[in-house]
Amino acid sequence: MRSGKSCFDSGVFRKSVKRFWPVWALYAFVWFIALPLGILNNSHQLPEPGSVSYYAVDAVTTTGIWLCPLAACAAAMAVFSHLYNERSANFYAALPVRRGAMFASCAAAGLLPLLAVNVIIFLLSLLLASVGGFADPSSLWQYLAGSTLLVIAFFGIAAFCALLTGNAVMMPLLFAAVNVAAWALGEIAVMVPMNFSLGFGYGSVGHWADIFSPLVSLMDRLHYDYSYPAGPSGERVCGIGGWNWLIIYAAVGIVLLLIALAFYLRRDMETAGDVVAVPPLRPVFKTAAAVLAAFLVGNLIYDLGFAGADDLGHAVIYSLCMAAGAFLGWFAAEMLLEKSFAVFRPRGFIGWAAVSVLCAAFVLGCELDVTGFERRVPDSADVVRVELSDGGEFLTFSNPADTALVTELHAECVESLEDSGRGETVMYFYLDYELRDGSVLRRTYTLSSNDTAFIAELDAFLNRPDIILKRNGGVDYLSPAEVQSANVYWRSEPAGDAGDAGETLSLSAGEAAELYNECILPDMRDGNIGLAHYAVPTWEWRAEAMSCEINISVPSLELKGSSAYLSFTPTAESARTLAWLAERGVKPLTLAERGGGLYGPGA
Amino acid sequence: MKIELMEVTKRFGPHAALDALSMAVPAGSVYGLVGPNGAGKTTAIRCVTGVLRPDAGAVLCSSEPVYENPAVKSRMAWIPDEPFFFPQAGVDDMMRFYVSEYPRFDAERFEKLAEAFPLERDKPIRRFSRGMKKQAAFWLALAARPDVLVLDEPVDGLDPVMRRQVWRLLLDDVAERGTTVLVSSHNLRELEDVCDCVGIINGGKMLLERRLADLQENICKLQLVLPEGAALPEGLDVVHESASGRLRTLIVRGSAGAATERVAAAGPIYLDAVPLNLEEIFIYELGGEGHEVREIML
Repeated sequence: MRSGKSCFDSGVFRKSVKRFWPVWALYAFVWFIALPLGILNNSHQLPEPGSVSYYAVDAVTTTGIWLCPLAACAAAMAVFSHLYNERSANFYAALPVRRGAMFASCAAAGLLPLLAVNVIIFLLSLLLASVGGFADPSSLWQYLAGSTLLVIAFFGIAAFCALLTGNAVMMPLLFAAVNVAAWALGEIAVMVPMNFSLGFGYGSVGHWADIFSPLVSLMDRLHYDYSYPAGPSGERVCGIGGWNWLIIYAAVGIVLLLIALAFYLRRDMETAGDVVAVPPLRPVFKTAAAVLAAFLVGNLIYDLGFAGADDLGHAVIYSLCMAAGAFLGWFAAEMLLEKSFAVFRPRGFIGWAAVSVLCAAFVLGCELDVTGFERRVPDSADVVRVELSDGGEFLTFSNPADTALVTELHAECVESLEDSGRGETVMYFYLDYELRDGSVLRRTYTLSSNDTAFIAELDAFLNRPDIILKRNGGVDYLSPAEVQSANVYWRSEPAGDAGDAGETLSLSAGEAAELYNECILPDMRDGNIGLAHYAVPTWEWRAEAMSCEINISVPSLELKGSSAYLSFTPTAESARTLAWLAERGVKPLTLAERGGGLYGPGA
Repeated sequence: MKIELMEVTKRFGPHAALDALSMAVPAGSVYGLVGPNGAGKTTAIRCVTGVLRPDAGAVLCSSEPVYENPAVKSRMAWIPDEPFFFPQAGVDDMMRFYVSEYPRFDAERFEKLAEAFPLERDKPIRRFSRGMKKQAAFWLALAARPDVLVLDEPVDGLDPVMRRQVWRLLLDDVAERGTTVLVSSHNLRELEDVCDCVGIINGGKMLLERRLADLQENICKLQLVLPEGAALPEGLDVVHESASGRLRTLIVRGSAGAATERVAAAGPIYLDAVPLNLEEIFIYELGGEGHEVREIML
């Protein structure tokens, strides 16, 4: 007596589509404003045929990236809303429809209208672009493909979330969490090694956590791609960059939709109203809430009340702060699951304790350097290339002698900082190694007033004549044709005096080239200009440095179409430069004589 | 269609709402499922309608499992204690949905039943009163021409006239079409008038399941006055005893005739046998299971 109607129920499908028409209507309305209306608005303004590809790409990367997730979440909430109320759950479960067919009908009712809207908007835009004189209306296919992939990706995620819970309020929260939590946790979790692991900086680990946060990941990875060939009439065409990620997340969405189906087939209808509808996932929910709260709240408590040195004592305090955060997260989750405030039973503390111990192990592991992260300095023979920076431009070294010198400096830095303790920050020291095995090793060090010996060594390295040139643009000859603009800004009166006003001298391309080639370059080679001065006391630097800045703008070698800026502060020893400037009436005071800064009375 | 529950167990966490429950609803009968609050009646009904999946045992309808069986469920209609309707739907909207879901839905019958249920068909059902919502539920269920009708507190909220109307329609269907009706209710006086069979459930288990006539024949109330110093004869299965002065009231298992004969041997001054109604049977049977009426000093 089994029914042949097994895969789909048109009655449920039609009813769901009709009931939730405001969702589809709002989705269509926003798309209409974002794309067809934009095309219509701009079509009559063009003096010549242009590419509509920009509109298509903009629609996906600017509007679709938030609209599609929102619409997908709303659609899934709507079509699976019968699971969140006992009466409706019973009603649907009693209907003569197999669960698989019920799921398919509801999912189709949520997904197909969104896709249909995408098609309608595409056709309307195509029509308007064709009529409006755009040369390549067919490039709107990017909108159709991009928005379709976004809808599939996020509807799959939303359906998965809808089946994880039995609570209507929880569903959108879960959807938001799935889309950003991994990224947020990654951003917060690095605070621990940044606090307690010497050399750990923001770039020390790749930003891979956001791969597990689809919305964040796509926001980062979808971009304009200008590498497309020109259109039929020679117009510039752009495309969506990051198609592979769209396809990957759409595939993930399909997989999650299938997992949601599996959950629906096994769902106990009595879970209507429960925060977590899949019983085996209840401990996972509590653990995830505890871990998230441990990092978020724990880090907040520590920063507000106890932030200090990266020593064992502070690591213990941080661990306790994380335990406090984990307590909040664990028992809040327990309260949501039990729908009661009375959750502080002895057994409940076991789970919280386990999470706290894990968090403490992580913190103490960073502080005690159990992985050897802090002590790791690569062998210079393994280094292909290293980039070094003091917070300014990165200097690249690939010469074996130079890389050996840099690794030596690195080793000395580690030795110096291990025992120095925290003092007033003087400078930052960044290292970025590319190793022969293809891996990358990044370190960030904060050097303080306790690290004078190492800072002096670093200063000496940075003030080598060849390094000075590298740090200051690396231009060993400047032709007038390369000069985009140049000026000299200086102060010749003490700060706060009636006549204290900055003066500017604009230089011609020829003058700028002459100044650079005949004065600045030789002064750099003599070590009298473009110096790093971390090892020099401020008062001493101010006695040497002139209240003067020379700025030359040249085309950037790395970014076509952009400019790079060469900027120099002469010192009292920059004889050639000062003489050239003096001939043109530029006679600046030293910063010490001025008693203030270059741009104002402040130091 | 016959309904059978065979050793059905259903747990909600650590609590067993149904504990190896066995129940048989004969085809074409009106079966009253009664029990104290929390006994498992609604859980049993939700298993019968295929809403809940039993943890153990089987729920069968005409020897076919009910769960995930659209063929069986298409011949079954359920009116829960609080029926569900789509939020903006009127009676006609729900009718159109039922037409698409229940192949045997009879639109002509639906129109004829409009006489019995004077409701505004386009007005959203959520704006109806409780009783009107029940009427709408009956209207739709009866128009679906089910072979099995499952009712949970069916007439709760209906006025006396509508109650009679509804029972008449139900019993007409039972008589004409052999519809099997499973009804759960606390209104035992009303059930007594319509039920063929009764099942008393307690603690997730079936306590007693009989034809109503058999039930009434197997327990009786004796009121008697014995001579001074006389004792009750041996062999009486007394379920409950109370006294008011010398007048004793005994609830005794067994037929009234047999109990009377046995007591007569003690030479009572006064003896009368009275049949029990369903409510009294319910009270006295469950009293033996710890669900008795308690004297509480306040």
